[in-house]
Amino acid sequence: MTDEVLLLLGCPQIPVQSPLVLYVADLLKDLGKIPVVAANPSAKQLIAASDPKKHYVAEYRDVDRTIADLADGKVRYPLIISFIHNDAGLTYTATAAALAPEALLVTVLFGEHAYDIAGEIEFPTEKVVAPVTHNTRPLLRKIDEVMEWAVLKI
Amino acid sequence: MGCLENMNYEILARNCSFKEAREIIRENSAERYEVPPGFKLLEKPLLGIPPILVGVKDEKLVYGYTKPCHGTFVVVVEDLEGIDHVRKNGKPVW
Repeated sequence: MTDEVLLLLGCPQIPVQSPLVLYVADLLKDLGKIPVVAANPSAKQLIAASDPKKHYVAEYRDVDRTIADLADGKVRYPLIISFIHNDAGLTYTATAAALAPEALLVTVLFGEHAYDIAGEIEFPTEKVVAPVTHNTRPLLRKIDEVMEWAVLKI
Repeated sequence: MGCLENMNYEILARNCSFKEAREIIRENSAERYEVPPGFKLLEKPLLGIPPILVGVKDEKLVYGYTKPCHGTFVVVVEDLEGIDHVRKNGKPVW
Protein backbone atom coordinates (compact mmCIF):
# COMPACT_ATOMS: atom_id res chain seq x y z
CA MET A 1 0.00 0.00 0.00
CA THR A 2 1.17 3.51 -0.79
CA ASP A 3 2.55 5.92 1.82
CA GLU A 4 0.50 8.67 0.18
CA VAL A 5 -2.30 10.22 2.21
CA LEU A 6 -5.04 12.15 0.44
CA LEU A 7 -6.06 15.55 1.80
CA LEU A 8 -9.42 16.42 0.26
CA LEU A 9 -10.10 20.15 0.33
CA GLY A 10 -13.33 22.10 0.05
CA CYS A 11 -13.95 25.65 -1.08
CA PRO A 12 -11.25 27.85 0.51
CA GLN A 13 -13.59 30.60 1.71
CA ILE A 14 -13.08 29.82 5.43
CA PRO A 15 -9.66 31.12 6.56
CA VAL A 16 -8.72 28.19 8.81
CA GLN A 17 -8.71 25.65 5.98
CA SER A 18 -5.29 26.45 4.47
CA PRO A 19 -3.33 26.56 7.76
CA LEU A 20 -5.04 23.35 8.90
CA VAL A 21 -4.02 21.62 5.66
CA LEU A 22 -0.40 22.70 6.09
CA TYR A 23 -0.47 21.66 9.76
CA VAL A 24 -1.79 18.19 8.88
CA ALA A 25 0.69 17.85 5.99
CA ASP A 26 3.54 18.65 8.39
CA LEU A 27 2.30 16.05 10.88
CA LEU A 28 2.03 13.46 8.13
CA LYS A 29 5.56 14.12 6.90
CA ASP A 30 6.88 13.72 10.46
CA LEU A 31 5.01 10.40 10.60
CA GLY A 32 6.68 9.22 7.38
CA LYS A 33 3.73 9.78 5.04
CA ILE A 34 3.41 11.68 1.75
CA PRO A 35 0.64 14.31 1.74
CA VAL A 36 -1.24 14.65 -1.57
CA VAL A 37 -3.68 17.57 -1.79
CA ALA A 38 -6.80 17.29 -3.96
CA ALA A 39 -8.41 20.69 -4.44
CA ASN A 40 -10.06 23.06 -6.84
CA PRO A 41 -7.73 25.68 -8.39
CA SER A 42 -8.39 28.42 -5.81
CA ALA A 43 -7.92 26.15 -2.79
CA LYS A 44 -4.76 24.72 -4.35
CA GLN A 45 -3.36 28.18 -5.05
CA LEU A 46 -3.77 29.26 -1.42
CA ILE A 47 -1.79 26.23 -0.21
CA ALA A 48 0.82 26.44 -2.96
CA ALA A 49 1.44 30.15 -2.29
CA SER A 50 1.98 29.35 1.40
CA ASP A 51 4.36 26.47 0.64
CA PRO A 52 6.29 27.62 -2.46
CA LYS A 53 9.22 25.26 -1.94
CA LYS A 54 6.91 22.28 -1.29
CA HIS A 55 8.23 21.67 2.21
CA TYR A 56 4.82 20.35 3.28
CA VAL A 57 2.78 19.25 0.27
CA ALA A 58 4.39 16.82 -2.15
CA GLU A 59 1.75 16.73 -4.84
CA TYR A 60 -1.40 18.53 -5.95
CA ARG A 61 -4.29 16.97 -7.82
CA ASP A 62 -7.50 18.35 -9.24
CA VAL A 63 -10.33 17.34 -6.93
CA ASP A 64 -12.75 16.25 -9.68
CA ARG A 65 -10.00 14.26 -11.44
CA THR A 66 -9.23 12.58 -8.13
CA ILE A 67 -12.86 11.56 -7.62
CA ALA A 68 -12.92 10.21 -11.19
CA ASP A 69 -9.70 8.25 -10.56
CA LEU A 70 -11.13 6.82 -7.33
CA ALA A 71 -14.25 5.80 -9.29
CA ASP A 72 -12.10 4.11 -11.94
CA GLY A 73 -9.84 2.41 -9.35
CA LYS A 74 -6.79 4.24 -10.72
CA VAL A 75 -5.77 5.59 -7.30
CA ARG A 76 -6.11 4.19 -3.80
CA TYR A 77 -5.20 5.81 -0.49
CA PRO A 78 -5.10 4.06 2.89
CA LEU A 79 -5.99 7.30 4.65
CA ILE A 80 -8.13 10.20 3.44
CA ILE A 81 -8.43 13.40 5.45
CA SER A 82 -11.28 15.62 4.31
CA PHE A 83 -11.72 19.29 5.23
CA ILE A 84 -15.40 20.25 5.27
CA HIS A 85 -17.30 23.44 6.00
CA ASN A 86 -20.27 23.34 3.63
CA ASP A 87 -22.76 20.99 2.02
CA ALA A 88 -20.64 20.61 -1.12
CA GLY A 89 -17.70 19.46 1.02
CA LEU A 90 -19.98 16.91 2.64
CA THR A 91 -21.13 15.75 -0.81
CA TYR A 92 -17.57 15.29 -2.11
CA THR A 93 -16.57 13.47 1.07
CA ALA A 94 -19.59 11.14 1.01
CA THR A 95 -18.64 10.29 -2.57
CA ALA A 96 -15.02 9.56 -1.60
CA ALA A 97 -16.26 7.41 1.30
CA ALA A 98 -18.42 5.36 -1.08
CA LEU A 99 -15.68 5.01 -3.70
CA ALA A 100 -12.90 4.12 -1.23
CA PRO A 101 -14.58 2.06 1.51
CA GLU A 102 -11.25 0.46 2.40
CA ALA A 103 -9.69 3.83 3.31
CA LEU A 104 -9.63 5.16 6.84
CA LEU A 105 -11.48 8.47 6.65
CA VAL A 106 -10.88 11.42 8.97
CA THR A 107 -13.14 14.46 8.60
CA VAL A 108 -12.10 17.88 9.88
CA LEU A 109 -15.20 20.08 10.18
CA PHE A 110 -15.04 23.82 10.78
CA GLY A 111 -16.91 27.02 9.99
CA GLU A 112 -20.14 28.38 11.37
CA HIS A 113 -22.19 25.23 10.62
CA ALA A 114 -19.60 22.63 11.63
CA TYR A 115 -21.82 20.81 14.15
CA ASP A 116 -24.85 20.78 11.83
CA ILE A 117 -22.80 19.32 8.99
CA ALA A 118 -21.16 16.80 11.33
CA GLY A 119 -24.65 15.71 12.38
CA GLU A 120 -25.56 14.89 8.79
CA ILE A 121 -22.64 12.51 8.26
CA GLU A 122 -23.85 8.95 7.77
CA PHE A 123 -20.63 7.28 6.54
CA PRO A 124 -17.94 5.80 8.83
CA THR A 125 -15.42 8.46 9.80
CA GLU A 126 -13.47 9.90 12.72
CA LYS A 127 -14.71 13.48 13.13
CA VAL A 128 -12.71 16.46 14.37
CA VAL A 129 -15.19 19.31 14.85
CA ALA A 130 -15.09 22.94 15.98
CA PRO A 131 -17.23 25.83 14.66
CA VAL A 132 -14.25 28.10 14.05
CA THR A 133 -13.49 30.36 11.11
CA HIS A 134 -10.25 32.18 12.05
CA ASN A 135 -8.94 30.40 15.15
CA THR A 136 -7.32 27.03 14.47
CA ARG A 137 -6.45 26.37 18.12
CA PRO A 138 -9.61 24.41 19.14
CA LEU A 139 -8.91 21.90 16.37
CA LEU A 140 -5.16 21.40 16.70
CA ARG A 141 -4.99 19.20 19.83
CA LYS A 142 -7.70 16.89 18.54
CA ILE A 143 -5.97 16.74 15.14
CA ASP A 144 -2.71 15.76 16.87
CA GLU A 145 -4.46 12.91 18.70
CA VAL A 146 -6.42 11.65 15.71
CA MET A 147 -3.52 11.82 13.25
CA GLU A 148 -1.17 9.76 15.41
CA TRP A 149 -3.90 7.16 15.90
CA ALA A 150 -4.88 7.16 12.22
CA VAL A 151 -1.33 6.75 10.90
CA LEU A 152 -0.68 3.89 13.33
CA LYS A 153 -3.87 2.19 12.16
CA ILE A 154 -3.10 2.17 8.40
CA MET B 1 -20.84 11.61 -25.06
CA GLY B 2 -19.13 14.82 -24.02
CA CYS B 3 -18.85 17.65 -21.56
CA LEU B 4 -22.00 19.17 -20.06
CA GLU B 5 -20.98 22.53 -21.56
CA ASN B 6 -21.25 21.03 -25.05
CA MET B 7 -24.78 19.71 -24.52
CA ASN B 8 -28.20 21.33 -24.59
CA TYR B 9 -28.95 21.87 -20.93
CA GLU B 10 -30.78 24.13 -18.54
CA ILE B 11 -30.26 24.81 -14.87
CA LEU B 12 -33.36 24.04 -12.83
CA ALA B 13 -31.90 25.15 -9.47
CA ARG B 14 -28.56 26.39 -8.20
CA ASN B 15 -26.65 26.68 -4.91
CA CYS B 16 -28.74 23.96 -3.28
CA SER B 17 -27.80 21.50 -0.61
CA PHE B 18 -27.52 17.95 -1.90
CA LYS B 19 -30.73 16.96 -0.07
CA GLU B 20 -32.64 19.92 -1.52
CA ALA B 21 -31.40 18.95 -4.97
CA ARG B 22 -32.64 15.38 -4.45
CA GLU B 23 -36.15 16.68 -3.73
CA ILE B 24 -36.10 18.99 -6.74
CA ILE B 25 -35.06 16.06 -8.94
CA ARG B 26 -37.84 13.92 -7.44
CA GLU B 27 -40.48 16.62 -8.05
CA ASN B 28 -39.37 17.33 -11.61
CA SER B 29 -39.03 13.82 -12.99
CA ALA B 30 -41.47 11.36 -14.52
CA GLU B 31 -39.09 8.41 -14.00
CA ARG B 32 -36.67 8.18 -11.07
CA TYR B 33 -33.61 5.96 -10.63
CA GLU B 34 -31.14 5.48 -7.80
CA VAL B 35 -27.50 5.18 -8.81
CA PRO B 36 -24.34 4.79 -6.73
CA PRO B 37 -21.74 7.56 -6.21
CA GLY B 38 -19.30 7.46 -9.11
CA PHE B 39 -22.00 6.51 -11.65
CA LYS B 40 -20.91 8.17 -14.88
CA LEU B 41 -22.92 10.59 -16.97
CA LEU B 42 -21.18 12.50 -19.77
CA GLU B 43 -18.01 10.65 -18.71
CA LYS B 44 -18.04 12.34 -15.28
CA PRO B 45 -18.72 10.51 -12.03
CA LEU B 46 -21.78 11.69 -10.14
CA LEU B 47 -21.11 13.07 -6.70
CA GLY B 48 -23.48 12.59 -3.84
CA ILE B 49 -24.70 11.25 -0.58
CA PRO B 50 -26.36 7.88 -1.31
CA PRO B 51 -28.97 7.36 -2.58
CA ILE B 52 -28.22 9.53 -5.61
CA LEU B 53 -31.37 10.21 -7.58
CA VAL B 54 -31.37 10.69 -11.35
CA GLY B 55 -34.61 11.56 -13.10
CA VAL B 56 -35.95 11.40 -16.64
CA LYS B 57 -38.61 13.75 -17.97
CA ASP B 58 -39.54 14.42 -21.59
CA GLU B 59 -36.54 12.31 -22.67
CA LYS B 60 -34.14 14.55 -20.76
CA LEU B 61 -31.98 13.67 -17.78
CA VAL B 62 -32.49 15.53 -14.48
CA TYR B 63 -29.63 15.28 -12.00
CA GLY B 64 -27.41 17.08 -9.53
CA TYR B 65 -24.03 18.59 -10.30
CA THR B 66 -21.90 19.72 -7.34
CA LYS B 67 -19.05 22.24 -7.28
CA PRO B 68 -17.00 22.95 -4.12
CA CYS B 69 -17.77 26.67 -3.86
CA HIS B 70 -21.21 26.78 -5.45
CA GLY B 71 -23.12 23.89 -3.92
CA THR B 72 -25.29 21.62 -6.00
CA PHE B 73 -27.00 22.58 -9.26
CA VAL B 74 -29.90 20.63 -10.70
CA VAL B 75 -29.46 20.34 -14.44
CA VAL B 76 -31.77 19.12 -17.20
CA VAL B 77 -29.75 17.69 -20.05
CA GLU B 78 -30.56 16.30 -23.50
CA ASP B 79 -28.46 13.15 -23.29
CA LEU B 80 -30.12 10.14 -24.92
CA GLU B 81 -27.10 7.92 -24.32
CA GLY B 82 -27.18 8.88 -20.63
CA ILE B 83 -30.91 8.13 -20.40
CA ASP B 84 -30.29 4.68 -21.85
CA HIS B 85 -27.44 4.10 -19.38
CA VAL B 86 -29.59 5.17 -16.41
CA ARG B 87 -32.57 3.07 -17.51
CA LYS B 88 -30.36 0.00 -17.94
CA ASN B 89 -28.20 0.37 -14.84
CA GLY B 90 -30.13 2.48 -12.32
CA LYS B 91 -32.56 1.13 -9.75
CA PRO B 92 -36.10 2.36 -10.55
CA VAL B 93 -37.77 4.09 -7.60
CA TRP B 94 -41.09 5.88 -7.13
